[in-house]
Parts: sequence; structure tokens; C-alpha cells
Amino acid sequence: MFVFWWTTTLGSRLLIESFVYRTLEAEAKSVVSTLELSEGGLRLGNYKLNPAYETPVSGDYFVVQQGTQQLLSRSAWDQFFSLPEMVPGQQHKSRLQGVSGEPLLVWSGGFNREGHEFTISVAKNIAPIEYRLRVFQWFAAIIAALLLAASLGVQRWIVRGSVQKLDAIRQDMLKLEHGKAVSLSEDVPSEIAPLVTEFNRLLRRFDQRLRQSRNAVGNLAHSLKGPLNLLLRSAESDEIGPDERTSIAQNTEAIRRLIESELKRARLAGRGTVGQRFDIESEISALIGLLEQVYSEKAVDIRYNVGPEVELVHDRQDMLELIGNLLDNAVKWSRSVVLVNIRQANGILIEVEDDGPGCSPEELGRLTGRGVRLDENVAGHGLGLSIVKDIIETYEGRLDLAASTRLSGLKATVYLPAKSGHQRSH
Amino acid sequence: MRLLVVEDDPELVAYVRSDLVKAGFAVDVADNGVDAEHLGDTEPYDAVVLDLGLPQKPGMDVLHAWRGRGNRVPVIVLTARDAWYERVDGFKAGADDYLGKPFHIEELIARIRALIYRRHGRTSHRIETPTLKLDEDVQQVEVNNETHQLTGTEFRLLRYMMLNSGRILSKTHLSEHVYDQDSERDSNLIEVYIRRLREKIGNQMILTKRGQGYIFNDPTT
Repeated sequence: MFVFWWTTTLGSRLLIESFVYRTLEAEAKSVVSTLELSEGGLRLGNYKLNPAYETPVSGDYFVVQQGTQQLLSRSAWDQFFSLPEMVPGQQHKSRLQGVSGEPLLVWSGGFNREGHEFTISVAKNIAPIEYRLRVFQWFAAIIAALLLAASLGVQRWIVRGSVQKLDAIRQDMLKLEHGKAVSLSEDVPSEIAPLVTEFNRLLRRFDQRLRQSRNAVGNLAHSLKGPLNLLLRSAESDEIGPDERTSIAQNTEAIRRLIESELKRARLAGRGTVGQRFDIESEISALIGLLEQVYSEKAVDIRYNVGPEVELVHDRQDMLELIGNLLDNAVKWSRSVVLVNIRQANGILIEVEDDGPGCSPEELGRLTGRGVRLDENVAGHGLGLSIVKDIIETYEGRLDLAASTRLSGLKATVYLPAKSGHQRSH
Repeated sequence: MRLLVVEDDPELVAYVRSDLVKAGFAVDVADNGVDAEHLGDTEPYDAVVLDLGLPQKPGMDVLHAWRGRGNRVPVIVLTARDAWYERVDGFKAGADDYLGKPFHIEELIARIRALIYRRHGRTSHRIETPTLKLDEDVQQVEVNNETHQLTGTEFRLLRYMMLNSGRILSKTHLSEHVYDQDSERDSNLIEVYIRRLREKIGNQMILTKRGQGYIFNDPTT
């Protein structure tokens, strides 16, 4: 605002001054045209000049100077002007003070007429113009101040408006806390809409987690009861013989396995974890190296292919757990070859095939059935596949088990959809 | 066979150690990462059982440091959670096998044996020659259908020599692989045990290279 005021002030002053100098120069030329040359020197002719030059102290003056001789306009009265002498063609602009202190703008120029060289200075009192200028400056200052006040007001109004919308979100959050709502209203300004959407996504995820852990705790507690009962009964018998000992050992082992499987489940990060991207190629080759090491006696040929643009944005631990278990199973059952294929298909498609004995259609149906506890006595096998199912469920994916068309054994196909909510932002 | 067990849980260490000793291993123990790294670099272990969660220096860092210096000692990593990402990380750091806690001690012993055999280029889980059969579980040796019970030291000595058959083994080398750190290591004791072994399996199986050491060799192969 100050800059606005300052530039208008300076600009109008410069404009007016240049305009005044231009008229003064024109006046000087008309004075020159009335000059008459005589023996004694210069004389003013009888031509009509601006009447202001005839009125004393009118504010418009001229001085013609040749050597020591000075011709003054009548208006100049007795004022004495000490002015520089100019050579012909030279010009000079200056600002002087008149006798009564009034500001004068003076234009001086050197002329040559038929061998006579003289200087003409024309002056104008600019006090009235300056007065008007000052009025204009005040006016501009007031306008600037008003504009400033108005824009501040508008800003305040806008900010208050947006904050009021945030207030609605705050109210929503209160409702959420009191259990009166399950998510925030997404009818919000577009600036904060992504925030609200993200928040709602988080809410859903935590809700899912909560339900999962409740289920897990429930399941665990329920399934621990059986073995604990048996343990208790064995402990209560008067003499602990070999039968009781076996029972105690078996039940303790069952409890250990239950805890193990629930712990594994509890570790799942789940879908929507902050995009911790990882190099799938190097992880898969490390995983395969690891399996070749573990099953070094079997000498299984594990071939893998990772398609272009495959980008696993899901949690690294979950993905390694998923692929690791699938591969481990495949290697365990295979005779000599395991194929892994990972590619992008509006999400991610993971295929693992082996040349093992495969499964009968009934077995396949039983394996993929929901909530089916697989044979957990085969170490690693049942638990592995049930963990795989849990991971796929958390990521809202799909698991298909079928006979492999390329190899004789089983083909497991896992599909994980692309992240829901919004697209990945780069 | 001499092992280093790196584990900071004293209760677990106590029973793992006694079971491993019973299974015929000389066992040293380290309860923190720094000691473990030093021992692994200075003592000639046949295998290391390495826990990942260790005070002072994490197990993964210890393993990384060994491999960085070219120490290829076979390592079994104990992971608390037996998760695949941990195994992958362990593999990247240079581990040879993995075992999730809690584990059965029989499983650990089987893994250690398998790892050591693998390192000696054996695929069979039996240590035998045409004349000798070593039963690791009961620590007996069968010579021409005649069974002899072996003492702990005799068993460790014979197993090590059979796994390294054809190689010249000095007395110092043998004592380093047969006794743990805290035992009195007198290489003359090795002479005593070699003599006792010869009484059981026959003189021709163990040859003496004067000034160098001993070679196990079954003359019928």
C-alpha cells in the first residue's frame, strides 16, 4: 500500500513537472518571436503575448538576457533573477524560489538571432499546482488505506470461513469420539478433502485391525481352553505315568503352536501401510538363495520372473512372509522345479508353481475354504498356508489353488489389488 | 566339534549348553555381541549358534562383521519370531541356517550336524567308513560288527578325525576342536586319547606323522 501511494505521488509530480517545462519551453519560443532587434540591442515588440506577463506578480515571468542587459516581463516587477547565461542551443531546467518564497519552475535556453546571442528564461509559479498535487496525494493515501483495510477484512473473512469448515470437522471428530459417527463427513473444501479422506482410510484400517485383534484374542483364548483342560486333568492324576507325560508334552506343544500362529497373525501390518517401497527383484533373489540354502540337499531349480513395472508398495515384511511361505511350500513338495512369476495386473499377481504331486480337487476345495484349519501337524505346512490366507485377507486379495498346467504339481495364484483410497502420489 | 553359542538368556544358555555337550560338542558361550565377535574371529569354531537380539552389538551386525573380514564360520541364526523377512535379512548378512524360537534342542542339534556335514562336503547324515560306523546319538563306534562305547572326548576326537579323514591334523589343532575354551588344553592328552582310540578301532586307522600330527585313514578304502 505504501509503495502504491509512493509511486502515484512521485509519478504525478514528475508528470506535472515535465508538462510545465514543456509549456515553458513553448512560451520561451513565443517570446523569442516577439523580440525586435535594434541598434541598442533587444526590444520587445508589440505583439500580443500571454496577458499573464502583463499582470504584476501573476506567477508567470520571463527574462531576456543579453550580456548585462535584461529585459523583464512586466509581471516580474522588480524581482531580480540571477540566471545563468546559455550558449545557443543549450537548455537548462531548474527550480527556484520567488521573492515571497513561492516555488518557481524555470526553463532557460540559449538563442541566436541574426548574430545576437541571448538567453531566455521563463518561470512559472507552481504553488497552485503543488497545492492540488498535495490534495491528490492525500486522496491517494486515503484510498490506499481504505484498500488496505478492505483487503485485510476480506482475508479475515476468508480465513474465518475456512476455519469454520474445520470446526465442522472438529465437531465430527467429537461425534466420532463419542461413538455417534463412524467416519468424518467428506463434504469439505477441496483443500482439506485429501486430509479427511486419508483420515477416514486410517479410521477404517484401525477399525479392521481392532476387529482382527479381537478375533485373534477370542480365537486364541478359545483354542487354548482345550489343551489346558487336558493338562489340568493330567496334572490332577495321582501318579504321573508315561501316558500322562505324553499327554502333557502333546498339549504343551499344542499350546506352543497356537501361540506361535496367533503371534504370526498379530504381526501382519496390513494393507495401506505407508508406502515403503522395496526392491522386489533383489528381495526375491535373496529369498530364493535362502530357500536353496535351506533345501540344499534337494537341489531344486527355482526360476523366477518379475515383470516390468512391478512395484510392491505393500509392507515388506508382509510380502516376504506371503511369498516366502508360498515358495517354501512349493519347494517342499516339488521334485525338481519351482516357477515364480510376479507381474502387474491392475494390482499384483503372484504365481508359484511346482512339479510335486499336486492335490486332488477335493483337497483343493478344502485348502481354499474359508476358516479351514489346515493340517497343522505337518510342521510349517499348515501354518504357512493359513498365514498366507490371513495376509491375503488383510490386503483384500484373492488366493486360487489349481493344478499347474505347465508343471505337474500345484499352482498357487495370489492377486493383491492396487491400493484403495487414492492413487499413489509420486 | 567345537561350537560357539551366542545367547544372552542365561537359563536358555544353561540347558542348551548342557544338551550340546551331551551331544558331543565342545561348547563356548558368549552373552553379548562384542565378546561373540571377538571369539568368532580368534577361535577356530566348527559352527556358531547366533541369537539376533544381543546386548552391546546386534547379532546381525556381528555376522556382518565376520563376513566382511572373510570369516566363513558356519552360522545358525536364532530368530525370536521366525519371520521370513528376518531370514532374508539373515541370508543377506551371510547366515547359513535359521531356527525360530522356541525350538526343540533335537532340532538345533540336527541342524548343527547338517550344517557341519555340509561344510565338509557330505550329503549323508552318517559318519562311516567301510570298517567303522559312528553312531552319534549314543556315541558308539561299530568296528566289524563289534560295538565299543566311547567317552565324550574319545567321541569328539574320533568324529572330528573321521570328518577330516585324509588330512594331517596336529595335536594343537585337534585340541582346539575337541576342547572348549575353559578346559585345560594339554596336547599330551591328545596322545593319550589317540592311544585309547587305537585300542578300540585298531592301530591301522590312525597314522602318526612324526612332528606333524595324525591322519585318519581307513586302509580298506
